[in-house]
Amino acid sequence: MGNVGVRFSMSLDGFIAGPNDDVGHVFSWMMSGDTEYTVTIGNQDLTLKMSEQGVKLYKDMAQSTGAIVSGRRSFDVAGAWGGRHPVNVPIFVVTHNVPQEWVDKPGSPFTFVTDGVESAVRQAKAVAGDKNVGVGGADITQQCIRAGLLDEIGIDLVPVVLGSGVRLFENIGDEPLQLESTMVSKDTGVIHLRFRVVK
Amino acid sequence: MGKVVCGMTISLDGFVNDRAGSVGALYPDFDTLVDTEPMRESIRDTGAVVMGWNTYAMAGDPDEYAESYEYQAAIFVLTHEIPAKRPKENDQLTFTFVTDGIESALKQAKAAAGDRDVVVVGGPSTIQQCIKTGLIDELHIDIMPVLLGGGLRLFDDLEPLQLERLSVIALPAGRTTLKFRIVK
Repeated sequence: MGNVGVRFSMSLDGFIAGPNDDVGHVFSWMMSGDTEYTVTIGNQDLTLKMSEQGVKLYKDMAQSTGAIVSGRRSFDVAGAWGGRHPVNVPIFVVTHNVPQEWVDKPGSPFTFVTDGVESAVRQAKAVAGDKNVGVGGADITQQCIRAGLLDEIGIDLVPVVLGSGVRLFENIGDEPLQLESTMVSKDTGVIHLRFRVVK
Repeated sequence: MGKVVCGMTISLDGFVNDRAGSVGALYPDFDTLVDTEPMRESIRDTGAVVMGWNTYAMAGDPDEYAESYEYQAAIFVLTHEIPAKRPKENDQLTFTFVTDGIESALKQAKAAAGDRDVVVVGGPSTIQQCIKTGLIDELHIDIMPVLLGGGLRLFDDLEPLQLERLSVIALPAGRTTLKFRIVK
């Protein structure tokens, strides 16, 4: 059985995007290394430039991910990834309003889940099998933390203070959640931090 | 001339204490922290300490600073009122109560520190004020592996800052010590 995890590029002050959903700063490390790695979003290729370590971490994550759970806002902000997320696995989008155009589209990787995040994670786990479920979007991550659904938290910490934007960790409940640090690693323009949720 | 450093320990979600005001969850390593290399280095390099009133008052009995505070150095406390009873001092550890603002506190602390560093140890409001003066050279942030879900946030109400990573050290108990230079 795989685990349920998140991975975010985050500023030191806790933002995963700046004002107006600007991710230029938090993703800059993925464009500042010396090793090229091309991903496909929709029908467009995007060449990332990371360190060798950054590429390895990305590949490991992509290969071990069997399904994704996303919030509706992330889905919209990302323009539905043009119909093909870079990790290219089935995506369960938690929403109140199902966008019919994506339901009808042949080969759509999206399943729209209207009965909540627990249902979405359950469906994603069933599809992922032995692989992991990746959760995307701040709001859905917060819902997963509150519901006790997360096993792993990966933060790629970017050396910048953004001051405002989309905060990852808020509204996560009243009880402290103990984590275990499983990796601390310096990389080009970023510090990789990995945690296991202690249950 | 020494540097001016702001240093605090935060949870992964950015809090310096929990909803009840307790810092216990951030210091499971309290007894051994003082013997770690980054802490020994900080104690060696620090010539003066700046703290806000709430941080000062956390000691309960302020006479304990002279007896057991890790930084035996000149301490500058930002306050509106000078306490009636003067806390205990010693050859190294002295108290100055500063009532005319953060810039004055930093200036006096720098003069006292000489070639050594000034460390601003908190709380969040004091550190935010310091960052806004533009007089801070480095941020030393320890991240602990816990989500507190509430409490006082360290980074709040700030303008964007570009940072340069200086060092990353993984310590026992999952403490990660991060040092950054503020790019000016």
